[in-house]
Amino acid sequence: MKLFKSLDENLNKIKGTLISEDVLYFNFKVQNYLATAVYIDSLTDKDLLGKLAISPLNSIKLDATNKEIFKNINLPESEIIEDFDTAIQNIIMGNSVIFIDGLDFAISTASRKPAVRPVGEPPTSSVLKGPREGFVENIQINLSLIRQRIKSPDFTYEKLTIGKYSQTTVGIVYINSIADNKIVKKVKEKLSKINVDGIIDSSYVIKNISERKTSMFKEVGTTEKPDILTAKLLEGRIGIIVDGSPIVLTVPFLFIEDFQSAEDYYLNTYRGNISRILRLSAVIFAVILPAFFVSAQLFHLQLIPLNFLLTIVGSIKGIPLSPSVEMFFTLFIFEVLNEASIRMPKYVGIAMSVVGALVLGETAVNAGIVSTPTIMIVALSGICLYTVPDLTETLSVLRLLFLIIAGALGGYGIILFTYALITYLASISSFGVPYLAPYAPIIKHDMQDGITMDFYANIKTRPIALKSKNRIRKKFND
Amino acid sequence: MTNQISQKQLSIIIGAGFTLTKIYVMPAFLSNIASESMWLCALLSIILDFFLLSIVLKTINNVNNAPLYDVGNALYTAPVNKCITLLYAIFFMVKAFIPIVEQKNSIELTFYETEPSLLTFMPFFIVAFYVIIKGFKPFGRSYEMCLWVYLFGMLSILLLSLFAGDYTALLPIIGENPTRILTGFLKSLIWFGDPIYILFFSGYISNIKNKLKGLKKSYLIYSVTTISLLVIFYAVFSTIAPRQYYATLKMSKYSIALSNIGRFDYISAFMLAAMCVFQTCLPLLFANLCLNKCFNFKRPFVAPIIVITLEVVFTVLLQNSFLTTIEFFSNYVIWFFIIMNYILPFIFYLTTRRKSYGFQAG
Repeated sequence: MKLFKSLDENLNKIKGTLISEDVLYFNFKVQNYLATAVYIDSLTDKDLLGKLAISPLNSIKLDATNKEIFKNINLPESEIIEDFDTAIQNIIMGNSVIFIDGLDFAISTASRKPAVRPVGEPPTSSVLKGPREGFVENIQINLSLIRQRIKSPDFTYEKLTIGKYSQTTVGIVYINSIADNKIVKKVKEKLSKINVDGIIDSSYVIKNISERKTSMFKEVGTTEKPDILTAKLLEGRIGIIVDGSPIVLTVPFLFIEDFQSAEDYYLNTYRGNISRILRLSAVIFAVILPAFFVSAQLFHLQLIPLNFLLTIVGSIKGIPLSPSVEMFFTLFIFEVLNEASIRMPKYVGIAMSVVGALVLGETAVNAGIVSTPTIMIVALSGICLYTVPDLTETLSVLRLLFLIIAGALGGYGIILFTYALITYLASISSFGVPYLAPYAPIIKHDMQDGITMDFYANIKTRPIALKSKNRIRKKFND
Repeated sequence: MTNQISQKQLSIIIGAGFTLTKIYVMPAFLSNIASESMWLCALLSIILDFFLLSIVLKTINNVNNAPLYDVGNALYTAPVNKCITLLYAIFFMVKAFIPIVEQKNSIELTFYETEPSLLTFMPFFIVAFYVIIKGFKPFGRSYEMCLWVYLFGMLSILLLSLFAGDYTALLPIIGENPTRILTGFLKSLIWFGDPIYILFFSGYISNIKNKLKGLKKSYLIYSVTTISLLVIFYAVFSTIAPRQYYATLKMSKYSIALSNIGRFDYISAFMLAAMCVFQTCLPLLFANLCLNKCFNFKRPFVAPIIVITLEVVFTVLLQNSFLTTIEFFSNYVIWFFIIMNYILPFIFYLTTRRKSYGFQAG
């Protein structure tokens, strides 16, 4: 709907649509014409509005009916708008819109100032060596963090607005000369198909663009660090930035990525390799160990070396619960403690861990309810689980499933479930890239940066799996 | 076509998977017939299978990697082709029965202190159903993923048992009457003929390189591994070998290394048992494929349900008389095996050799 010439009519229409009390109206004069700036109190920088928009308008020499007057406003991105929908959209976004009596257009000034927290080290991916900057909830700041690292005209940013009510800005970033066009197209298609009322966080986008909506394995990578995103963009991946979320998404995502840490590249390659193998072993330990221990006790005593078996027999003597129930009970306590310690205020959390670890554990063993090896295994499994923080949710569910199967079927159940799991993972792909690459299918070249990594000097080409347009990463004169 | 398998994955299936169906009952069965010459029976079968593999590879090249069913329709009439395909569906179900029950018995004997209920093994069929539904692509990729598991399991079992055997027990090399060796060779054919699987992959192989000749190298690896396994098996158990059914996974337990660090050979046995699950699913995949081609079921679950239900019924009914069933198979059903494994593929090869039919690649 087009704007009216009458200021009153325009304001009445705006007031009828934006009924919130934080929508403010500032009346002033431009030459002899009455004017009103409409803005949202909490989103607009009033200082900017006054100094760079209203003051210049007060002192213009042009005829106020001339459309060129908006050029006097010293705010970039200011524009003329001629319909109500755009005017309301601009006000909601935090811009202030200036209506002048007698004009059938308004001026939108980019004077928004949303609340932003400072750039800091993300709590989920702290490093000993390497950059400490993390993404924040503002898409513009996040973009600047990436731009600071990629100063190339090939860096591409495309913007979409998703969410009927939230009108969230979602950005797609990639390096045009590296990323595969087909994957970029697919990402755009999937994002444009999202039709929801609101995008609160980037995790909403994950749920909408994943092919398997019920899968417990994520198909989209996440990062809170601009250095990691930059490295991924340079490999040929595509980033998805969501306004209001410090978590940036990356696609295509490979299962192996969760085992790789930014620090692996900043540290000595030998140490990086050890860390990666440790993480993989820890994950296997975390998931399988409780199940393996239960199945060994119930079905495969021969599996346990004799001396260790005697120790176990000594400690489980008098325990009233069966091995699987005992393990379930201990895991249940562990999960409850874990849940409570995350939700509780920090100072209570410390007390909670003392109560949980010392009092509960110690008394449970002394009371003969659970055995010491079970406590040890649950504790070890719990610690191992957090070596790969991004996989924690999935692994804790898997651990439980393995435990149920081991208690019922023993080692053969573990084998069957593992096989079914591998078949499932081998059958899925993330944006056309096999999820288990470079191990299934085996891509020898990409194994240079897989579970283990080659020396930096030897990694000269980008991964084959990502189908990047330009495979050459660096040219060495050696 | 999305449901494709790569040449590399086929190589792994041949190099690793073919050995796995020969490690349970066959070593003891052959020892019973040919004693120290048991490995010669297997060698003869391996040589025969090599010819079969060569024929299969030539056939795939002749038909330009077109799906076998389409080729059959073009070469023979549709009803004849349907009958042959149905026969193959039955054949694959029968062929799958032996490794399934072998696996079941082996799991019960090797991995459990007391004999577990049959229900313990039943989840295998759920997993097999899932694998069939997923098709060739995840199957091939899973095989690739688990190659390391196979290598660790097989190498540790071979190396641990290598020095535990008395190799003079294998002498003289041809100590048995050649007739017994030939009998062993003939009767053991129910465990062989695996290259037939490769023929049924026709139309589902992606990026064929060098006319699939690389697969012969994998076959060589399989041959060496199988013969080594049989030789070590007889060297470890010698005169009691004929009674050592399902003992291959246990043959490394006599290694002195284990007395110090515990029975970690069990881990290897577990790993090989896991790989056997893969291999056992292979004939089931083809049974499903043949049934689907024959009856063109509209719903994807129908053929897998038929295949799995029949296998469950076979297993439940015949589980307690497995050795008698093996005897019956090796004495009577063997001719069905020979026709389906060797004669029909040869006829098929001859008919595809005559002229180029211009089949579309799969």
